[in-house]
Amino acid sequence: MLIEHEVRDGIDIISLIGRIDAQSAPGVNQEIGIVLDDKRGKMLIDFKELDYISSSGLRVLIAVSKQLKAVRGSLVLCNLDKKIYEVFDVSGFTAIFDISTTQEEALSMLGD
Amino acid sequence: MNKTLVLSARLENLEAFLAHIRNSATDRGLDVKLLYPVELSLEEVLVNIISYAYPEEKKGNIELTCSWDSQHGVTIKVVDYGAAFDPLAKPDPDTNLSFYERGIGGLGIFLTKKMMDEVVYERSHDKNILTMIKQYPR
Repeated sequence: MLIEHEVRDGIDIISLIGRIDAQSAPGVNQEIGIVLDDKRGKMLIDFKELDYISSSGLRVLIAVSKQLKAVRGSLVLCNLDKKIYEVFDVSGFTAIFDISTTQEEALSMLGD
Repeated sequence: MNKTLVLSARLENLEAFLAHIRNSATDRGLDVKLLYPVELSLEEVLVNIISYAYPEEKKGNIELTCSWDSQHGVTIKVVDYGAAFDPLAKPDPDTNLSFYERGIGGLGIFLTKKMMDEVVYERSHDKNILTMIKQYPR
């Protein structure tokens, strides 16, 4: 599991690469937590290179979303493939998270 | 051909269990990406057993068997020797409520029920046996 982070126009862009399972989820939580500590308040999480996510990863996303909401920040997810989107849908997460198809679209949502 | 993998119920063995299923799919020429719902379902069941089935100081084993046949797709059997526990007995979370209103607990097994075609629990000879069936992943 690998996480890439860049800041573009005040927006944290997190790229998830690999697999988030129960074993790797705590590390992901920790790394995103470090980014959140800088309190930019706008985050994009790109799923393009994410092959797998289980409920432990979904819990991390909820925790991230709650932390951003607490500071009136915003979070947009993008590039979810069909299978992962289906899991989000079944979990009721598609109604909870802002999800966009492409990174460009996600950036413009956060830029407003 | 059925292959059984037996390892202790510890988080560090999770990847080996999941790889067991992936390899059995690859052996049949299936695209591993199509296996995602199956792998996810299995992880949720395994994590439950790893977390709750045995006391920390005395971790018992998990036995994982997967079998494929042309009619039923894949059948996965997960066995542990912990206290009797039916993970399917828990009520499903209300996914119509926002996550601020509901707890996040119970999501894992809920996903397993949704993603697999059939999930059956039985208690037999001091074993918890969970059997999951998924038609050939498409």
